[in-house]
Amino acid sequence: MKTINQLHIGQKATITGFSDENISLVLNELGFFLGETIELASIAPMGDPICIKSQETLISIRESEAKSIQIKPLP
Amino acid sequence: MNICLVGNPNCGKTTLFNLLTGLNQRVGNYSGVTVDKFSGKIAIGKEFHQLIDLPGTYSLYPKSIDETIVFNTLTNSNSENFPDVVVLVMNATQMRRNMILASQVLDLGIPTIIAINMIDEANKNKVDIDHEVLADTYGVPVCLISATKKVGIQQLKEQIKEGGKQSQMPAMVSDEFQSHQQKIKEITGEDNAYTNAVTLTLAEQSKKVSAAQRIQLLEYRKQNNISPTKAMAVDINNRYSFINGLVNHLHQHKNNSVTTLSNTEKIDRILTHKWLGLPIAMLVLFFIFQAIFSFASWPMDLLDGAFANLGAFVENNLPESWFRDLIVEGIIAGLSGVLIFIPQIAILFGFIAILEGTGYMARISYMLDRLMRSVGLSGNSVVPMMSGFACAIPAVMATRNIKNTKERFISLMVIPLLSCSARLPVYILLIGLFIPRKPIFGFLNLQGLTMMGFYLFGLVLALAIAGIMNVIIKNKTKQFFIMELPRYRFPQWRNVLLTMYQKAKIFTLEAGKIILIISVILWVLASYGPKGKLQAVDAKYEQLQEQEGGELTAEQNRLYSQEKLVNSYAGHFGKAIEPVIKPLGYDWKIGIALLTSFAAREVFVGTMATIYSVDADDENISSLKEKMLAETNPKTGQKVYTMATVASLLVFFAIAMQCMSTLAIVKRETKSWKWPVVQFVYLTVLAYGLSFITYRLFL
Repeated sequence: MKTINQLHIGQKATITGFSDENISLVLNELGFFLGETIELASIAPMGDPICIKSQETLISIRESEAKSIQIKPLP
Repeated sequence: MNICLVGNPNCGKTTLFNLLTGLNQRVGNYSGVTVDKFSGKIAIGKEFHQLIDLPGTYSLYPKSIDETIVFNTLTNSNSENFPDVVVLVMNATQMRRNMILASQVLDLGIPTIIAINMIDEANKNKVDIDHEVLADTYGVPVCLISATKKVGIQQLKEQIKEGGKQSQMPAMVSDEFQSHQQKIKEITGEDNAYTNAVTLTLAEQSKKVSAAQRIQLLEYRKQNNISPTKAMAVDINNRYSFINGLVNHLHQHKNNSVTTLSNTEKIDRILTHKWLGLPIAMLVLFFIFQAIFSFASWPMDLLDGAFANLGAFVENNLPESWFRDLIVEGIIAGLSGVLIFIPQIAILFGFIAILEGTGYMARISYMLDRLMRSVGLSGNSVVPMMSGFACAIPAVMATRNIKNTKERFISLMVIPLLSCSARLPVYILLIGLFIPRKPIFGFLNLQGLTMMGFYLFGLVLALAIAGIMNVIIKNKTKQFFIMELPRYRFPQWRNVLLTMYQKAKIFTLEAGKIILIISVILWVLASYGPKGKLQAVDAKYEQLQEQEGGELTAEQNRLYSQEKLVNSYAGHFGKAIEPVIKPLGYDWKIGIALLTSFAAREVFVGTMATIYSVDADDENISSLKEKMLAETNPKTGQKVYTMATVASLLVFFAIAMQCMSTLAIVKRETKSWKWPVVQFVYLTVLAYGLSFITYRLFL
């Protein structure tokens, strides 16, 4: 199972699952839901955190937290 | 009427609040917590109403103390802040996400007006919003506004006058909670189904229920195997399914390829660039630091001069008495000591408001997070910690922008360890005693290098203590570093100026009192003494004055001040604590200076000048250095200022909480005397211990 931190910059993916229910709640409230298309927008200069993008929102998330977001990369 | 502004972070809520209230706003307290309450009076028609700017939140389910305020204000009709009308502020460029909180708040059944803000920005991005769809769905008035362009504000005010409407849609309550409804209602006595659902879910935090009711709710939750985390997730997801359908109707030119983020992404490509991002951030931070460290000194000198003139004026125009001394040396000097901080506070918060308003602050946190993480802090502490190198007071105030309570607390506790500008004169005097100005590698000199060493020492110590506190302090709830990177915008100058004004006012009114009281006490200690002693000194110099024919020489005046200080309570204090500070290599004269420099560290130099009766205004303090180096202990005949003593003093000043103003602001920011006292004790003990070790090492 791939997680969001394994994407490369600019790559899109669909969220397929959350393995941490606390993180999933925070993400839901920011507009990141199951089935949503997201994109890895950038990686911070020191390699962590990463910035992911939904239709409306950019968020910063640490790699350790990003590992709990399972995805299916889009072609 | 009580009106509450509710909305997501970055929805322009504060801009709207500032527009509606202007200078008619005040910063108060939510009872029992350290959250600032922004409220103001607004005139609508002939009547005045109270407007409260509630903290921004992404949902009704709180993740921080600020957000708990929103939950407990909106779900508890007994709260003193419970709104008669809610103005739901939404960001037109992020309707899908803003609808989550909006739909929750609408379901609470409070009369509501929806204000869709930033409509100009959405239109620019070719997004039109059909507000009729929202108005029809919920049956509440909907206004399209732009707080920055002042569009639609009059209509909004008229709707407020009408008092808003309750949502006409049945509250969305999950099937599971639907079945518990009757039982919860029996416990809480509340009619609204959604209020009951969230009260059961967050029974621990709810202020709506009594202790007995809370126990019943928790018991009920346990019996029925209700998981709060799961319940919240189900609620949010149900809402999202509904909102998705609604928003598709709401956006008139619905086009998936249209994104309002494209400009922001273009700017981010440069400002968070792999190689350029950090140098740019460093440049910005350096500029801000420079501004509070050196640009602020211009208005500070001006203030200082103005108060000196005022003092001289009063001194010349009042008859000599204890009352005149109290006014001039106690109160005017104390006031000057308070107001002197305003330039630094105003400048720092001006920059913070600009960074927040443009969206760049979140990028600084994003890029520098990695750096702070090893000691348990996050990118959010970068700006407060950096400011600590200029002055701890604005830095401690800036910790308010750290959302995570534990992180905020740790930052606040270690900031006084960072070498602020008040230590500079102390470092210069002490380093100059033994370290020669020997050039090293051609461009550095040994004095400068030693000074840098002490700055570094403070930083390393601050980070180490932060790391230790991070391990010791346990968090009740798990905290994450997930943060929105908002769209870039132009800063709103009204917001910037109001922030500067508010912060200066908070400091002056709330910390200023404490500082003024302590400085008057310190003045009394240094100007009065046990019975008889000071009178004897006065008599001696009066006699001398007569012999000289009316005027004392400068030298005699200095000796007069010295004898007065030595015989004052402060002088006696120095002698009394000598046994305690002797293991650090200090004599009672240093003891006096330790007491007086509690007012501010740089006072150490002035006190030393008085004790050794040299001219304090001497530019290169060389005569003071000579006298200090010549000082010998009358009992042992050995030099007082050896390398060991000076090194020990330097370490002491690098660490100890020699600053009453920092104590006062920590009291204000934590709303309790407990934390400034804890901070004072831990820093003094640490300073004592490390100075002792240093003294022994150099002996």
